[in-house]
Parts: sequence; C-alpha cells; structure tokens
Amino acid sequence: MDGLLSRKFLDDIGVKLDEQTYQALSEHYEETLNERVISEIVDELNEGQLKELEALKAADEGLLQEWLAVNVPQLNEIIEDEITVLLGELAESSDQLT
Amino acid sequence: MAFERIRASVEARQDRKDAAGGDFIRARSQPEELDAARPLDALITDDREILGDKKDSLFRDRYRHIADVIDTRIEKAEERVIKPDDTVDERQQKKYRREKYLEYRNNRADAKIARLQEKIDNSPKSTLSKYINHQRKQTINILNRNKSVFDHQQIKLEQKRQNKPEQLKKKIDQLVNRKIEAMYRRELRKRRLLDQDAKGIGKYDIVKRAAHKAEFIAKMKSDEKKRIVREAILLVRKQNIEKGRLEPDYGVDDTLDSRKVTEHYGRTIE
Repeated sequence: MDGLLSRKFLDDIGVKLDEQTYQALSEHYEETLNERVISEIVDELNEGQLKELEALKAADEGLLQEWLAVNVPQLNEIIEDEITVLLGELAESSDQLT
Repeated sequence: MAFERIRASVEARQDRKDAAGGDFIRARSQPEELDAARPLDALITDDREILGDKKDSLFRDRYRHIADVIDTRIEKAEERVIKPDDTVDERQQKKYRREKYLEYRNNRADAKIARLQEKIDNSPKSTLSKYINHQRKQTINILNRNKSVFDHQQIKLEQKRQNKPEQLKKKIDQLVNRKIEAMYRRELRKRRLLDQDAKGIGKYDIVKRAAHKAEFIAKMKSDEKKRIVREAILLVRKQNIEKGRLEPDYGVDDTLDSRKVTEHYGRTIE
C-alpha cells in the first residue's frame, strides 16, 4: 500500500526501492513535511491566535480544520510550497536514493 | 510580548524535565529581553506541542490532494514539451519529468523566499526576532543554493548538448576507421602478406603500408562505403539514445551518398 510519498512520483524520477526502504522513506518524508508545514503555520500566527490554537488541542479535528481555514487563509499555499520544495529535494537527490 | 507566545510550551517542557529530574533553567527574562545565561534553544517554540497528537494526521488528506494537484500541473506542463511520439521512450520521459519537478520546485521556492523575506522585513526589533530571522535567512540561503545548483546543472547539460554533434562525428570516425582497418587486415591475410607487413620496420614500411591501405580504400565499391558509414552512424546514435545523451529525433541523412561518405573517409585516413 502506498504511503504519503507517491510511488508514481518515485517512478517518475527513476527511483526504485524495495518495500521496506520505501516505507521508511515515506515515513521520513511525512515527518519532514509535517515539521515544515507546522513550523510555517506557527510563524504565521500572532500571540493571541497561538493561544487559541493551543486551547483547541483537545478539540475534534473538524473544529481544528475550521479554525485553521479562518486564521491561516494561505494554508493551501503553504502546504503546496513545502510539498514542492520537498519533492524537489527528493528529485534532486534521486541518484543517491537508488 | 514575543516571549509570552512560547511560555505555554516552555512550561510544559519544564514539567516534563522536572519529572525526569533534569535541570531546566526557568526563564526569568522580561518581555523583549533574554536572560544571557539561558540557552537560546530553550526558547524555540515546540511546534508539536501546539497541535499535540493531531499533528501527524491533521493535514494528511490535504497533503495527498495537493500532491495530486502538483503532479497534474507538471504533467500538463510536460505535454507542452514532450510531443506524443512513440519514439520518446520511457527513459526520456522520466528525464523530462524530473526536470519539470525541479523547475516547479524552483518557482515555488521563489514564492517561499518572498514570504520569508517579507516576514523578516516586517518583524519587530527584538532579540527573539533577531534569532528567528536568522533561522529564516538560513532557510532562504538553502533554497537559493539549491536553485543555483540546479541552474548550474542545466547550463552544463545545455553545453553538453550543443557539443554533442562534434563528439558524435569523432565517434563515428573512430568506428569507420576501425571497420576499414579490420577489412584491410582481412584482405592482407587473404593475400598472405600479413607476416611480411607485421615484420616491416622503419619509415619506408610505414609509408608502404599507408599506400596499400589508400589503394585498398580507393578500390572499395561505393555501396560498401555507404553501408559502413551508415552502420557506424546508426550504432553511435542508438548507443547515445539508450544512454539518454541524445534526443531521439537526432536525424540520419537518408540521402547519404558517395561524396558525403568520402568526406567521412577523408577524416579517417588523414
């Protein structure tokens, strides 16, 4: 089963991995992406918003998503930038991955 | 004010460290000022604490969706470059696709650099901002460095492509020369002159051999000359396409005639 890192993308850049290595790379990819996206989101918020967000830690995911949609309007753009930068790094180092 | 923002994470970290028996130095600083004795890394916001357990799953669906969108955009950009042609093999398509990902990455990296620079320019003048801006500048440097590495690779690749025809000619000449040499030695063997030829020493014998060879070539039939050169050209073309060094549409002249073949021969016997 495909992890968050698409097998098609790896195939596109000429990287062939066995299942175990692929799963490890996919996990690392997701972890790195999460760190960068969350770091960018935190950077966008002011002090008051950060306190609100922290208070929502225990709330359900739907409420959290709604809050983010209102307070981080450029969220999709941030995610797209970080995904593209990270995929670009993978594409650039594709020779070393095989 | 900036310090208030991270107080909650710092307190949570303090509780954990106290429970583990560590020696965590609690912040005593006034807002906008830092305790000189306190290590800076203690002030870094723990982003994961802000979202808690949800951090791993919160954006997963959005990541998948946006990754699909990016892939579709790159495929559409690709269609403008790669013409639907059966001769464009899988290797070439992967090469184009990789280049397209890198170009797209550079464009988005520009957008991220602009965003980071705006934050640096608009940030308040405080020690904490100075530290955070230092991290932002490092990120900008990394993004710029990746772009310049990519640009440099593209320039080198383009130079190689431009020099390719000249290198191919040399390769073709080598193949043709080798073929002629093999045919000449076969002819010598037939005439049982090989031993005498091998024993030849001195300048005179070398000159005599060159004369024999030139005579041999002059006697070759036109069709045979054409065949040898065409085979060499096709072989070199095939090798370079397989290695991804040559575009599949690098043409072979179907009207190859004796005059053109002689030009090729001229280079090989000089």
